[in-house]
Amino acid sequence: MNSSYSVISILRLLVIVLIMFILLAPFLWILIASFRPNMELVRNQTLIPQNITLENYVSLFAKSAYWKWVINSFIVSLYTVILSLPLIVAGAYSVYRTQFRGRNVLSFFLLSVYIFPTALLVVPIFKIFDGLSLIDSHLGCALMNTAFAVPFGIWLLQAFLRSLPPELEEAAAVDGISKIRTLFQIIIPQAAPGIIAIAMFAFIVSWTEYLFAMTLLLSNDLHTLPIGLTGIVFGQYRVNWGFAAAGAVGSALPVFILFLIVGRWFIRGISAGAIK
Amino acid sequence: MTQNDFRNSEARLGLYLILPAVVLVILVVILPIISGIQISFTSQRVVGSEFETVGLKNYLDLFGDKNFIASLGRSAVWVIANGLFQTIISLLIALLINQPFRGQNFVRTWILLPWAVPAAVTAILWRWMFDATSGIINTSMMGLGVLEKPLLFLANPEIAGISLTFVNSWRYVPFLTIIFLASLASVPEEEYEAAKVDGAGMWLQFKSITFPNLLPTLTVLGLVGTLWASNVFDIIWMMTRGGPGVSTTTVPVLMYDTAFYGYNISKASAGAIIFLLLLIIFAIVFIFLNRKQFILANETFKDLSK
Amino acid sequence: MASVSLKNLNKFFGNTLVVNNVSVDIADGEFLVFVGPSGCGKTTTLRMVAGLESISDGEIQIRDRTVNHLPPGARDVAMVFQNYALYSHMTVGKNLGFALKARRFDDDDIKKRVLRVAKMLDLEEMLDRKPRQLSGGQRQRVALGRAIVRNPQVFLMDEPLSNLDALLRLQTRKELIELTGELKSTVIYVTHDQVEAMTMGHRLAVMNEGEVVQLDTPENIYNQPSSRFVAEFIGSPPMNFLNMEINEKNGKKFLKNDSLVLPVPDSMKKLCENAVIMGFRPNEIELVSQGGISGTVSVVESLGAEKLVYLKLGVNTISILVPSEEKIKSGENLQFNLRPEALHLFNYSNQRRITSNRND
Ligand SMILES: Nc1ncnc2c1ncn2[C@@H]1O[C@H](COP(=O)(O)OP(=O)(O)OP(=O)(O)O)[C@@H](O)[C@H]1O
Ligand SMILES: [Mg+2]
Repeated sequence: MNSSYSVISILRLLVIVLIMFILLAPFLWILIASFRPNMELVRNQTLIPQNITLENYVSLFAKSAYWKWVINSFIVSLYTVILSLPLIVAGAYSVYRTQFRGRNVLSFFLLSVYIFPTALLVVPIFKIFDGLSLIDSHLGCALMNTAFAVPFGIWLLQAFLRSLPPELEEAAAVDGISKIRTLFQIIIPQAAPGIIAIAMFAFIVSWTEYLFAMTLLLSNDLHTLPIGLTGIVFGQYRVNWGFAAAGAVGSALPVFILFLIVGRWFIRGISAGAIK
Repeated sequence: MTQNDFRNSEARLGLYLILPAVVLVILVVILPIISGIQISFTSQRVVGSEFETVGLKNYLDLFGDKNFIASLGRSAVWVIANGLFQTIISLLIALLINQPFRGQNFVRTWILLPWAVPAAVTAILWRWMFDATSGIINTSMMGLGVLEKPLLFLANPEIAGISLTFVNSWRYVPFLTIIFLASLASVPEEEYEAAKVDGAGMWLQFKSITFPNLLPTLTVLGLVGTLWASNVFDIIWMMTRGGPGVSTTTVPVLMYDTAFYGYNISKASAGAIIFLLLLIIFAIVFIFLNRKQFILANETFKDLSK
Repeated sequence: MASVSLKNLNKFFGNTLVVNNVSVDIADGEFLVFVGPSGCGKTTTLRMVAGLESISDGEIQIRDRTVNHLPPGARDVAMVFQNYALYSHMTVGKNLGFALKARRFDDDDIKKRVLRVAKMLDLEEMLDRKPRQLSGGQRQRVALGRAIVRNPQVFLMDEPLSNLDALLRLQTRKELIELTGELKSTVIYVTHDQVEAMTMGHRLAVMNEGEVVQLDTPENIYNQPSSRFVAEFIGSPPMNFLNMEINEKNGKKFLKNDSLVLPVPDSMKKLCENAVIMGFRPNEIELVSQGGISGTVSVVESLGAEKLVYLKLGVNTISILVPSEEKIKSGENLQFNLRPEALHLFNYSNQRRITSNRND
């Protein structure tokens, strides 16, 4: 019994390691590649780098508009977080902690956003945004990201909200505290881990977004990281893999840092509080 | 039965609070759809150009268009391969890492990295991994003598679709896994303990505790995940542009290409509307079949067992 | 402080009636306990008074004002929840002062009141701690303090002691009695624990299946339970019940079953039923060495100072309480006497008490 148990657990550990390897090894590989000269990458490669160089980073940081793209990406993501947080918190509170007729239908309706074939309807969006002068504006781009972050964000917050005991609100109600005040001073502080998680979710939705940024941001000055980077990397006939690798590292680094700081909060914030 | 004012004010507040999200969705989703329907009945070729109303012509053209019909088929395969496959894999991985092990916290956090980096990074990463002459997969396989000549992961029409499915799954499976994991963690440990005391084996525990508790999550992810998969554009566009040939041209890719490179936004809009209708039918059938999972209990947050 | 009156309250959940025509008048400063078995509608009744549950039919008045349509916060009641519902992100001090702050009391006043209540409840040391750094008993006191600090007209308490261990529960019970006595508060208290109800309540409202079946002082309820249900629910160990026929011999009435015959007490001479349920409490018997009702001991349970003895009387088993010095073994024969005053008679069909002063 005991020995077969440990065989199973070792096997399980091996599978987990393998999965994590598939998921994370490409990052390590590209990190190594980013320090190798392009010529070495194009010729038949060796596993161990022969030469170490910073030339790729020099062309990324000094010769491309990297910093501008990063700032633009941050602006759009920040807008998205600022716009989505109140909508998600209010929406989730409404759907999961109040009762009114039509609650079901509305929560359906919100999730139906994802039916929307984004790549196909960028044309009408373009037309509508043109009329609202939201073309070529970070805000317009963030608005789209928000619309696609909010419905799922609301759903993500439910587990946490549902795990709060109803007596919290009832106690406040008996004490004569208004519903709005209860929301702000009791529910929101209690739901802090959940709110951190959805902020992360909204940020990443925006940070990784490609299509809206590509269609709605016309001027080079406004381009976000993915647009700027792919413009250079895939815009040429022969891909400069050294530069591409440095660009990929440069784009992944901000989320890497974000994960170092708040990464472990994500799962805690979307589960009903059982994870420590 | 009289409602008291406390419940009434709660209902009013609930409605007010959800309204902003609803308005945004209407603005950004419903209006474009209406506008898309309008465009699809015209002969407009680029935004702002002259056009006339042509009725159903675009739709009829599309139904006669072998290319379009073929892309519908490709989309169907793509959705099954991605939507279904990803959901199952994610669930399995979640079950695998749900029980404690050394490094569980590391896995729970860093598994998400592929989902959190821009699609552009994913595209660079895997185009390079897959590269015929300098990609690590081909060079190491050839070095080990497993392959004689490089596999053209993205340039061979036979396997490009599989490669893309792999990359897209690499990107989304971590996120779905974490959501399943969160939902697994919400199952009270006592329920398992009670079942163990009752002599339930692993399979019975899964069937009678884990699965029912996961069902609401599974249903929502089944729906939303399928819709996400059907609308995937960025990865395909950046990795193959629908090629080689048209082997990875799903409906979104074809319509995007028609609109912006074929300069025919009215035809693209008609294609979009057809695709949308198919998705709506899918969603309605799906929701109808799983309606129990979607109805929020009347007393969602009231724990009656207390 | 204020009087509260519940008039013909009804509550439906869907089609099920869970509170059925409840009418209770609670006097100013009274400690009224709703007691009854699990699921009988106590919590629901209390929540209707608080305004957390809508009223299907009937009326609630606080200080002679109908409050049916007032939101909970406007009723000037304070509630202590079973799980305390403390705000875990606030310190004890903030928890205590939160309601006052929401009502825009000025900071000095809040501080003064919070300190006074903290002193009263021995919580001064803990004002800066978070609820999770407190023991169960301390949390319970914070929940209580949060109610007291508001100085409300009425306190509503839903099993506030049930999460405490036995010893702490006894101690807190005493404190709660003293405290509410000092404050002269009107308290509506819900419990399923009849001992708690008996010791705390000025009056008890015994509930069963949504109805108040008896409303009286603890003594009266104990001595004259209005129905077999109340007789069984109140008092521990529970009352014994035996089905008896009424026989008449020589103009005298007797209670009789397969194993015993007893004269009907003088006070109940006017009895006209020919079958009744007879009840007597296990402690209201008298052991005798001979000439009493005799039974065979089946089980003996030691309760410390006393022993609970199960006796077989023919086909029935009853329980009696005897001092623990008595040496009793199972299988042995025991004899006891029942005083006429100790007998409670209930109607066989509707299970109501048959009162002595009935004139029919
Ligand atoms: N929200 C609800 N919806 C439907 N039925 C309910 C609801 N709340 C309570 N009930 C039912 O109403 C009845 C009375 O419940 P209540 O909570 O008042 O019982 P209680 O006397 O407080 O019991 P306990 O001592 O177990 O707390 C129960 O049968 C319960 O199942
Ligand atoms: Mg109760």
